[in-house]
Amino acid sequence: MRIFDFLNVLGFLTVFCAIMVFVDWFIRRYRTGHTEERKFSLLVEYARAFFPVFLIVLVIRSFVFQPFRVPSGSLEPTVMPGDLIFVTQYNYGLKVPIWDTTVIPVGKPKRGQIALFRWPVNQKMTFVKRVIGLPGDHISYVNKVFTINGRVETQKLVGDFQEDLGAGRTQPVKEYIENLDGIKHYIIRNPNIPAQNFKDLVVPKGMYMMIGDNRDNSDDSRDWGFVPQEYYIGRALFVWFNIQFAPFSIKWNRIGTKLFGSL
Amino acid sequence: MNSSARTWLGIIASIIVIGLMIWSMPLYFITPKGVVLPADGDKPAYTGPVNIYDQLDVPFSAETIGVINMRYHTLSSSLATQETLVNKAKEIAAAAGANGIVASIGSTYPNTPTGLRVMVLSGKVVRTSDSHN
Repeated sequence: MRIFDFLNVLGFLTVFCAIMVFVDWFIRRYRTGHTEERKFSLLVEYARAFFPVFLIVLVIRSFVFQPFRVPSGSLEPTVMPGDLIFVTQYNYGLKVPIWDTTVIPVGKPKRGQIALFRWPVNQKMTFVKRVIGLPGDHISYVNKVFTINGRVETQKLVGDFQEDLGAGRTQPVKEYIENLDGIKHYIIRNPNIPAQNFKDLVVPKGMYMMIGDNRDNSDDSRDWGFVPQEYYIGRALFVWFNIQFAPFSIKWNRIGTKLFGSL
Repeated sequence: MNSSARTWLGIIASIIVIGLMIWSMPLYFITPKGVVLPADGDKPAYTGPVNIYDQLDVPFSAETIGVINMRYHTLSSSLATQETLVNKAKEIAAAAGANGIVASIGSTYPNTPTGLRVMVLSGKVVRTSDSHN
């Protein structure tokens, strides 16, 4: 399966415009003559106009940042459904679009970061979750508390929280502050859902374990396994807008919410 | 050479170049993905056949090795698709040290967006002292 997402299609359009402009220029450059030869066809005129636009958007979208709309509540309360987040494209290496090849390795995912990655189950889809396990980590999850390499990632109860289930529905859950290797962030847990305990899960080499902050309502590594390093796209930094359509709402207070660092 | 001829040459060159780019794009393969969440740490891998049980015929002496969760992106719920999912589950279960799987298979369609539609296998992996078909 080859992936024809927005970025790859934009890449093809940029290449098409570039070739149209170049071929036209090259032939005119080396075959001077009648004025008629200098007229551009409509297609070449559009290519000349759109090429710089496509190129600029392609460069920004490939190497700088992309917007991403979060459709689900798996990262509640940190990222709410409808949040539009700003994702950098350079934290995990600069990748050439279309071939998805890392040309400049910059860094690797670190524990606690919220990252955008290709879903291993269907690589056409992209997910956003929090990095919980690094290659070689030994991870246990008992009574909804993580222990990583022998260190308990403590949680402190904050209080009640209304989980957004979409379509205007909510359900009461409990909100906690989890200390993940010094990075404090909010999580929610549903006391009515039993824990799926596990002990001493080892994260394979070159793979990472991803988890949602909405611990009892998140489709994450506990359901489909680990994420290979080459599937990582970028790191979420902040929320730049929030909009939901059913029912329609805009949460203005979400704008500017930081998604990195500690509380 | 007039503008029309130049344009057609450009279109032909674009088709060739973009065609080559598409041919050289990386291929991604859809295969079942999953994990065994161990109940009590790593166990040595099992090298024999892995049996599928349901809740009624799992041996009484079976030790629970862990919980298995699998996802397989597919738009078809055919028996061949289920078999692919089950075979991968057996592979993962054996790597975790289990020789039996007690699980159910379901799916997330038809109410899920196409890209997120998956066949789901969920249950537990067990180790029995004597295996049977």
